[in-house]
Amino acid sequence: MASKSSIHLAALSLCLVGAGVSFAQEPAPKKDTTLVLRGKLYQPAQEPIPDGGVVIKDGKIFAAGAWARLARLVPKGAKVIRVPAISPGLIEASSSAGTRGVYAEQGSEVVPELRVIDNVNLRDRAFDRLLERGVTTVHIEPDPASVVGSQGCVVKTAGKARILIEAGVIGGCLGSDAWTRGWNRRPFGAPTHMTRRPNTLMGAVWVFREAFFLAKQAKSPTPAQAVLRDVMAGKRGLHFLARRRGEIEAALRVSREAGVRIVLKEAQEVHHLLDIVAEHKASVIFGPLEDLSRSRRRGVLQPRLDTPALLALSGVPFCLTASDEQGQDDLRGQAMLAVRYGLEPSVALDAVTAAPAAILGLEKRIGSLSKGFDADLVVWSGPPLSATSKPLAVVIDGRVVSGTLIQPKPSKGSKPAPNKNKNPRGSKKPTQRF
Amino acid sequence: MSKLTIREVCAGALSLVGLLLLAAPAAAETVVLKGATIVFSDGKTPLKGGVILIEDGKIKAVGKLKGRNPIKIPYDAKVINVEGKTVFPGMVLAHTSQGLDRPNESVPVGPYLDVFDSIDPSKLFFESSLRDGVTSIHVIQGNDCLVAGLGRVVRPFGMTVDAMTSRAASAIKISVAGKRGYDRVRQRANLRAVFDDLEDYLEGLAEKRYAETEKEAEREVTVSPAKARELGKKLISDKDLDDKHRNLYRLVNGRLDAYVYVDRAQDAIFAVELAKAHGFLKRTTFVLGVETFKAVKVFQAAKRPVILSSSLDYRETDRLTGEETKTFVPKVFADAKVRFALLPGTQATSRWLWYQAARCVSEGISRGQALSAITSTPAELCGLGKRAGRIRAGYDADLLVLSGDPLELTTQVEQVLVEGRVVYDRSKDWRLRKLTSGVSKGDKKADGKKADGKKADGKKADGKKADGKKADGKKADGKKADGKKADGKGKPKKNEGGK
Repeated sequence: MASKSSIHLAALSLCLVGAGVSFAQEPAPKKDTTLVLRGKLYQPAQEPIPDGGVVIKDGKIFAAGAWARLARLVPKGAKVIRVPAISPGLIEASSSAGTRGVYAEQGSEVVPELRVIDNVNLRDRAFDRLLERGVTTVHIEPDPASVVGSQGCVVKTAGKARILIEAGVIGGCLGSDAWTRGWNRRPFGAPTHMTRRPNTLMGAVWVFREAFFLAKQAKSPTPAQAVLRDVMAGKRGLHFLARRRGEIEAALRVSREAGVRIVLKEAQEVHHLLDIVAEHKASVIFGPLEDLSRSRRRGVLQPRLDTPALLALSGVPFCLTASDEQGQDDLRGQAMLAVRYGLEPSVALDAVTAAPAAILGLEKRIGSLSKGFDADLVVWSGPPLSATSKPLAVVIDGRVVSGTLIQPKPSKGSKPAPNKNKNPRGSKKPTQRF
Repeated sequence: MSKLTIREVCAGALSLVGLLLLAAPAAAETVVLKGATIVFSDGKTPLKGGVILIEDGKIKAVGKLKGRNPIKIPYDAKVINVEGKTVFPGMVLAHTSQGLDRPNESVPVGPYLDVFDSIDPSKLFFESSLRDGVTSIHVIQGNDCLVAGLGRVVRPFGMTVDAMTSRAASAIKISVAGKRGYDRVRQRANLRAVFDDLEDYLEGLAEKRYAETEKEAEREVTVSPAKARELGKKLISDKDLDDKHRNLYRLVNGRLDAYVYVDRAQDAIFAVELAKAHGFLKRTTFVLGVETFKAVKVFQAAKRPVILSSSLDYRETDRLTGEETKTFVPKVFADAKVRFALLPGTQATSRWLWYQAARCVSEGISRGQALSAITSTPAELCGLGKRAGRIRAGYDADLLVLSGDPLELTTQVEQVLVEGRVVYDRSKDWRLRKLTSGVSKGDKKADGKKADGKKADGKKADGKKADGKKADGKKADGKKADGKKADGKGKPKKNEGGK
């Protein structure tokens, strides 16, 4: 039954992918054309190249780097579009886009056989919002209400072939999300025999232990146990939602017991435990950054503003996430906050592009502008992590899917065009840059 | 460590005391800020190597040491060298209900109320404002009412409300948006009733006052009641009125400003008409909801400035087509040439006023307009037009010493001067240090003191984590450097966590 409906949904989503062309707000360039952009190039963990460029062929990066070296690689007759700044598309490592609210599977606390993709509406407006803010790829995580959650998927926010990983890592949660939802406060109030279990951290830990123990012991494993065996064999990742210090410690403990390497998600209190996290060889998807004014919002006791900078110092592989924050505290906002509180801008850019790609196992395909990578990039009106710039256009697989690449009038010679009138709203005043 | 704990325990009170101790002694003195790049609120070319001469809390002169009209530094001046820094006027928050014990009084008509009774100087909000470079805050409550009480402009510094106040009775709040539980019919009818009642009351009072004056002069009242009312009106003074009517009388009499809260575009015309009908339109500032931008023409025609909602983006989904449109609200007002002030948002980034201004710049609004929307414009709107929001001779010396351009992401507020006194110093901001230490190179003290910092610093990379925990400040710093080399990634920012 479940598999049947999943096939159905998968077919539906394929149809939707087929219709993905209409995501393009600008007439898409003819098939297999090249796209050449020239402007200040921001690569993850590198100093920006003032006069750089990108050559895109057939939806892939053909070359990227300093224009001096790039110029001879530009195919004859190809138009060079001058833009103020280019960076790789941003990658959101933890999101629930397209799933619309709670999608906790109540059937069981252990649901690794389920697939989040079957629950995702790829035409949801959430993707458009992410797209216009420069996010080109999202990892849609399982809902944290299950102790051992379902399999997440990685999709692009627009384009033709949107699904990068159909069913990837499974989720885990020992924190309050798993058991406060288990409480089912309304209409029952305090936990009763009617409420879903577990309803404490120790209960959640036990459910996790039991699931992995049984999977290990099973002679003929169920589909769920087969997935857990994949996890134990290292074939599939495990992303643990753990915010508080105690939750993080518990997650590391049980994962070591199960012999699994994990990725910690959100992890607002991870600054207490950096050495232990490094020892466990865990990675961290950190965020959203808790601000001074709202530090108690998620019940986190001791957030710190410089945690991203501390993570960078510690050598623990990490990336940033906005979780489902929208508006100004989105993924780019998180990178900006990290910069304000001590992270190098190039590292912050890395933490929202190449680093999440690596954590999702897609480091050879997205997250950087390198030869052979998917041509997912963002054109900015100024430095990507500056409060005075904004995304002008987003390119996915070599196609402009959001905003416009306004081509300035052909300038004489090879003098770089001034940053003029790149505003898609058509404002006459040039955007200020610093 | 123990020192720190004590400080933690006495957090709220001590922080204020600490700030007070920071303040330079007596006010009557001459201060000179020397060597900074002065960024003006109207966006004109910054003055490099500028000098600001401050006397008795006021800016006396702005200029340079050399060239035309050089500034001579008085022999007794306290010179603060701010070379390499940027000086910017203290930002002004035009409208907030924070800093009160509760954000709204639920009395529908309470013109007799005053936020004076409700402001709590020990609120963390004031400390955060100082940290973020806001030096004037207009506290005024009552969006959820008909007529609320008086607002007050305060500085986020001082032990008592009196000490904080820079302008009392700044404005009276009138809300044309539906009070909770009121529909628009009721709201508007009741608002009209408030002013009708005032008129009746004033007429009665006028007649009474006229009769009294005649009686004192031992004359009989011979004129008609209508004439008596007319003559009596001139005899009314504030002390004749009861509390319920006094402030409204001052409002219609042109002696009190109005802040009119217009939540939605549909209320705009009513709001303007109400103000016009009772003669206070010229003293009115409109406080807008996010959707009110649709009535931009109404405010344009009324030639009145507005305070924009804290949320700068407006999204709307068409009910029929399902199409979503997005509007950047300040741009609408900038294009219509309606002057506007910005408010801080609610998110971690947008809660900074400078960030809101930077967003305006990113959307194509001129830098001058964006900067004035967080300084001079809000200052004018809360009645400090000749006092705050500008670096100009004669203005209060409410100044920020920044590490860079005010709209730059990495710029930090290093010092805040209020009336020429340093009231905030980032290097002594222990709260901030606790939340950001461990990264900064220069923040050795903090590293040495804090267990957290040590744990985070004395760590991995070289595998010496065991003894790292007990390392003293210096050692921890050394390790940190090792860590940096090892991963080559985390170069900390110099200006983080103070000097």
